Amino acid sequence: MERKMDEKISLWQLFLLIFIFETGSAIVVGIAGEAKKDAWIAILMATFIGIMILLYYFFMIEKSGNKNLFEILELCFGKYISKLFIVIYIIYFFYLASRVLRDFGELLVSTIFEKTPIEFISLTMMFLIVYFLILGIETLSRSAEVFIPYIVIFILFVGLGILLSQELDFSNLLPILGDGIKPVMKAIFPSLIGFPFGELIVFTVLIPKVTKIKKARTVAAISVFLSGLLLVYTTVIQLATLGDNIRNRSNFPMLSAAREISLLNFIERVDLLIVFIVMFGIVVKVTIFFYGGLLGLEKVFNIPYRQFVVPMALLISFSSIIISKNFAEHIEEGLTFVPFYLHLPLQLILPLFIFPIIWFKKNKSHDK
Amino acid sequence: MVTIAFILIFTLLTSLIGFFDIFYLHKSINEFFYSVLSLEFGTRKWWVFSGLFIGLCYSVITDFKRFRKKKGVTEGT
Repeated sequence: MERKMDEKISLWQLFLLIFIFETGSAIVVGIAGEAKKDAWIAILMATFIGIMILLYYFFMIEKSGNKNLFEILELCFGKYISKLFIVIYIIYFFYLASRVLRDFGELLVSTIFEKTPIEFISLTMMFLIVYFLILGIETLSRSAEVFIPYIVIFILFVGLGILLSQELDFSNLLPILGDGIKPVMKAIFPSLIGFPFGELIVFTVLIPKVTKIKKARTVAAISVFLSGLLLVYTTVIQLATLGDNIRNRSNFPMLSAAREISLLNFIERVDLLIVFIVMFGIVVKVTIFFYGGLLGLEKVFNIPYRQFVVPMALLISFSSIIISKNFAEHIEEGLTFVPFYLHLPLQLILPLFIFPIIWFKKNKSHDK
Repeated sequence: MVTIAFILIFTLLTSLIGFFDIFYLHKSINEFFYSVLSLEFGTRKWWVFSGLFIGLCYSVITDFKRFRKKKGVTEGT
């Protein structure tokens, strides 16, 4: 089998990967719960902030001469100190891959595979991801092209199905901003900024692989905007169907909302469509985080990333199990510690420090 | 080098998970060890532990192959 060393992805594939990456687990795990009835406003506002964060990442890449995150770190901190930062990012990406994998495992165990051990789901899912990565990131991009129509049609169908089942009650969304803007702001910062929008930091590893990099900025921004709109759409469905109280107490609100669909006493249990949508979203998300970490390992150890794929996949599968004792603990970690201690420093603070260093180094080389 | 990378990432990743458990979820070290890292009776956790062992073996074999290839090049075979 021929394996390309220099992988390239097209603009359309970048668009799809960002779109699926952003909506992947965010659709099923209820986000912006702090904003209660105004969760959709919080997501809409966070989308614009997310676009700004993405544009900043692009700005950073352009100023460094289309280098990826790890090369930028090397440019800023030198050959040896940069390795420390690269290892931190590798651990971060692998940790996030484990978290996303655990989300998916919990979803499957609590919905369709009730008697299957979560360890089995975790291992089999990682086998699929190993296969994707051994064939290369282009394979994942092409699979995204195949699956995207199903994902969009299924999501639209779920909304339409709930509407036709007369389960939507838009009065659940009222009053708009009844508690003021404060809960919305609390939901945006740092939770929504970190998840799902700030997680785009992993694309700083992928963007230099895009064929027409000059147009990539616009395409990526449009993709983030559309994925934000889709998240608003699903949040409105969840709020209008379940109300903010049940939505916040439900582990998987989109799934609970989809269970309300009952058309002609015939079309029922369409929550499996949601599981399908999430399944591909999770595969894309874990693969991209995993790929980001692997490229970091390639940079640190100077060995082709494919040699790391199998051992690291088994390591991610292991850590997805030991990451927490149960789902409640997993969610608590995700809402309380991860945004402050991991997302904020690695998605925002460190990248903000990087730009002045690039600027200083460029000016210094111009002076010489 | 693959083995070193495997052990390094395993140590750091487990330390991060342990750090969150001990300092933020306020678990004792014993509790962390017994509930998270040990093979509890009745669970399927041993599947992922054996996966970890396979990963380590795979890394050692990969390194061995690389070493032999390198040796072959330097000895001109």
